[in-house]
Amino acid sequence: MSKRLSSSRSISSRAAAGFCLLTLVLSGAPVSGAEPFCPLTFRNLVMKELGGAELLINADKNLKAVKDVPGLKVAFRRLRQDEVALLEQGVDAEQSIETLLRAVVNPNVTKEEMAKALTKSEFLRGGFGQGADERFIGVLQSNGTPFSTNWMINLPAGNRGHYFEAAAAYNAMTDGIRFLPGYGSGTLVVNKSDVLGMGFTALTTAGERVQGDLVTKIPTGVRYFDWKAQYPPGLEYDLDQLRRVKDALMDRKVEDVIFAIEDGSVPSQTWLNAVTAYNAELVTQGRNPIRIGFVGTF
Amino acid sequence: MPLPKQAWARLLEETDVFKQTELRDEVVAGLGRKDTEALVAKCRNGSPAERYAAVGVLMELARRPGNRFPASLRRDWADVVTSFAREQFPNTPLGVRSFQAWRELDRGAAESYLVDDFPLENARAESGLLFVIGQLRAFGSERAGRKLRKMKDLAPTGKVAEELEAALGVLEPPTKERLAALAREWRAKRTGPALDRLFSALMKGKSPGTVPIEEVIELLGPPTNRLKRTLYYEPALVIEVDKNQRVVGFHFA
Repeated sequence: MSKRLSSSRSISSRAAAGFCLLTLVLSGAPVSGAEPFCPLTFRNLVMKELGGAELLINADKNLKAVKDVPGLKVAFRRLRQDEVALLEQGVDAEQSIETLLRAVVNPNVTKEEMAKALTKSEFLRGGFGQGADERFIGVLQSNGTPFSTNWMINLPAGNRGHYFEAAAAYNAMTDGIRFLPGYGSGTLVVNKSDVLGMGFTALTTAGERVQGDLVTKIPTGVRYFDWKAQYPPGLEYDLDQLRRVKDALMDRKVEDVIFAIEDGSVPSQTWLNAVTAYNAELVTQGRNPIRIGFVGTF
Repeated sequence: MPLPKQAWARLLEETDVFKQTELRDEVVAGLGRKDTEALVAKCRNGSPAERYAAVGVLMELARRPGNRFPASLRRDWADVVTSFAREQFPNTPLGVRSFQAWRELDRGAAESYLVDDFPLENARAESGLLFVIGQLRAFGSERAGRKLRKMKDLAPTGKVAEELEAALGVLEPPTKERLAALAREWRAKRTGPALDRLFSALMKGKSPGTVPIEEVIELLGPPTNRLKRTLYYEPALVIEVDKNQRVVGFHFA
């Protein structure tokens, strides 16, 4: 718990300086409803919009790592002050967790329902990280709320807070941006159209879990999968894992996969090579390439 | 033809495979029924480039929700891609793409063909064998595994041998020898990937509450930290156990 709150406070301090959501889309596929893709290089983008030496270090590393990826384009969006304020609410107290979830997920969920679905211990526990998420989804379903409104479910996985990703994803969705950065395990995103996504936390055992467990629980209609990449450093997916997960998803009619890379993580050339090689296989087969998204908090 | 003309023309000319994906989406977005009919006709009677592009566009259309791909047209198209797959997979791009389309349309039939009827000698190049291996791995069934094992018994070399080994590693349960080898690797390197390979192999196919933590510790060694029911292994593995000291959760974080 203390570790989670500590993590969240550091996020909070950064939030005060403003948040920004960046997406780098491998394959250059347009992001529906997003601000127009910006021709800026990553460095220029950072220089123009954000500034800051520490940030530049991270951005430069990321730029170096991704500059040779075919078809790379950059899109960005700065969060609004009210979004930042929402994040501020959610960082320091358990009460605020409920506030945030109620604001982000569904204002009609009652406290009793929430308590029933998410006991404190379940909410905060790590482990598989899926049980609480799925119970929460269950509450929404049993509450009669159809998958037709803007929902974002992003519960903390393990002892890490993911509030800022939750809010960023939520707000991205409300503006119609189809890239979603949420990467707590079991992140589920549904919007007013037919775009649904499900997140997956950074498990290099993802192939096993997707094949044997999580993939069977993806609600009907989920169209794409948001998969956190490159965390923790050194635990990178290899070509075989990429294939296992995407093949398993294909059997659930989920063809689109997006990797989220968090600010400060530097994709290794090995990992990028694996994705690039796999994408070449996929497009030859008429399948959709894996895309890469970069999530920055500044 | 009434297809979204500009995007279709650009798709036919585009050589960059990633840009082809974008253009394919663009074509799909503008398709009406007559366009779909025209595309199915292109699959039958078009030039090689048109056939290849048309199969890709219709694959994407078939994945979209709703009724934009009428059932009668879908059946016609299924006949076409099945025919292409039988004739050309895995030796031409059209054959590879058509087999994938068949798989997405009728997984069972495509798998039966590949496992029971596909003559391996039909794969005329290494790249073709790699596509066969990839498809069998993706089916992930026992019979696909048996076919892969048969291919392995033919003593292939090079990249094909490597891919077969990897595919069998995914489909077949790990042997004690394999686990021991992975444990040796982990203890020697102490890296995240080595830890992942070992723990993933150990937990393969296991359900929460079925693996005693002693079994894990025996392979991984003592944890870096242990707090009540949570064990932590540097660099990143968190394991949770229940009151019976069996693994109920794990998390790389």
